Amino acid sequence: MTCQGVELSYDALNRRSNQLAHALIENGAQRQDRVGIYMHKSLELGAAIYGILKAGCIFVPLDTLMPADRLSFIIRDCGIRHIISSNALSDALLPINEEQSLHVYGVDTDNLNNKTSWSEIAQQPDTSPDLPIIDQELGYIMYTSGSTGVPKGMMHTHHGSITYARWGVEHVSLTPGDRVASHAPLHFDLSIFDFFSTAQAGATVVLVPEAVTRFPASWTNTIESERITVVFTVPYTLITMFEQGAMEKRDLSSLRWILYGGEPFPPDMLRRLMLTLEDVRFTNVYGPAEAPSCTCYDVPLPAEGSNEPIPIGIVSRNSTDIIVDDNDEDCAIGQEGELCIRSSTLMVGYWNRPDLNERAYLFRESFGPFPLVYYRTGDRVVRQADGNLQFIGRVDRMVKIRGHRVELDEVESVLAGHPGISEAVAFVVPDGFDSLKIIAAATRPQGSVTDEADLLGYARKKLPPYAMPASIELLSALPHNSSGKINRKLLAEQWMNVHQT
Amino acid sequence: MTSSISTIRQHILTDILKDSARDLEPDQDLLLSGILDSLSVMRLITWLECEYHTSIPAEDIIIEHFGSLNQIKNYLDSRIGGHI
Repeated sequence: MTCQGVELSYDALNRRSNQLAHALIENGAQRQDRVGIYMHKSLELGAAIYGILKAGCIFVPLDTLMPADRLSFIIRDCGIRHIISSNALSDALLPINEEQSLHVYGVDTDNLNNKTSWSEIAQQPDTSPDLPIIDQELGYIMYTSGSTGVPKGMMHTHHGSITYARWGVEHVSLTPGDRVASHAPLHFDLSIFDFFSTAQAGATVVLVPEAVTRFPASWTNTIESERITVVFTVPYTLITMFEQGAMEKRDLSSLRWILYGGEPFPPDMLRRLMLTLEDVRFTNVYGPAEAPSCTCYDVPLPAEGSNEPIPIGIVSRNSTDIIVDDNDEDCAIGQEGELCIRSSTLMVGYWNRPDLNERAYLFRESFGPFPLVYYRTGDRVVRQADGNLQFIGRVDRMVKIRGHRVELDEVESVLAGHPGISEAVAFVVPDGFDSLKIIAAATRPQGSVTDEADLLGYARKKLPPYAMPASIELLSALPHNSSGKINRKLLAEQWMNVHQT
Repeated sequence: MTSSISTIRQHILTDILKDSARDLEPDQDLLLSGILDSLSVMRLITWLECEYHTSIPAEDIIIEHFGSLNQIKNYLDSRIGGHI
């Protein structure tokens, strides 16, 4: 594992993780306790992941950019009492620590009482605690946008993550010589590939600092200087790399495989990128974070001028799929329906959300007492004659913003929670970079003087940055269609007419 | 001509972030603090090019030049031949 020029061997990582595991156990962390990871990309992040697992605990990645309210919600929601952080970030934990006592690791700041520094952790034995962990126990919980205004935590087992990791090793034939970019933040499911597939192959994880990922030219510099061979990312990163990364000035010959997922890649743009990186193989990986990498498609060069969407492919090993209609009956080939996935990578439910779990799965009878469990992806697809699945759209109002999942219902529910607002709607418009941006519109009750800045400030305390509306228009009334529903399509059209440049 | 930290700060806070009350120190990390994301970096570049009548080549749009207000000023001043 390497980060900004500093390397850590797997042997050293193993010993450091063992020490953290002992420190967690000594401070009372019990098997299957949830332990937060609230850190920037660093070598300590690797030790945190494995140390938590070795203590028999469940790691919960916490986005370092999320607002305080959301951070506090997640910590309370899954009952985190131990958290690995850093001096640079630990201030954000202080208000939460007042309500719920946290033991913070990796810090030596004066303002926290219950803490253990890395130098104290280094005093622990470096041998494995060797707990009898089984593969059906939870390994991690990842939080994602939830439509009711609060995030939901997807529970994943060791079994699921190992299946996902092995798929990665096999699909791109990872070997110890590979250098895999850890480009995605830890709270993105792509990071499971980055860390665990790479480790299984004995290859090098190259941790890419968050700030680098915001600058296409810094990113291409990193690929060149770190001799990156494999990248798993979202189309937005690749599109900005192509358009603004000064690729022609960099030697990117180390790259051999690019995996992307999260949202569709415009075929013509992909063609241009593939022609520029002609020795690189491209794979479109599909799978919601609930069932990572459940299908994939090795992309051939799209034809010139093609608008034909790239298929999401066929199911990966240890996965199977059905497409069902509105009555949960199987669809015929060519008939559009909801994709349901049965996979070893499938989550075992949302943490503490029986309401969501009831809707998340579809059951089919099996031989024994347990039914076959399919996850309802919420994605509408069609199976083509050649067997490949084609993505059509969503059954709900979830959107992808530069690879991030956002429930527009969550945005609306947050905005409508402001006391100076009566009704709020959110919709998406093109962002000019082949992705989308969120625009909101709201109405105020009589006498309310709430303005756009108030409302944005309020939303910023509740929503992660990628889910923030780019602007909010305050209207005297919202348009409705004939059935009485708010006409969001009209709002989006009106917005584009006014703002088209 | 030189660039002005206060003008750039005001643009970032008022026009990009729409949060003029927020603190923003000259050395503060614009990315790790969540003030800029990948999309707003591009908007900032477009505005800087226009405001300071310069063009910023793609290979210059790197973290070392745009990580903080001070870095932006230093880079721009070297670009526009800044001297008082």
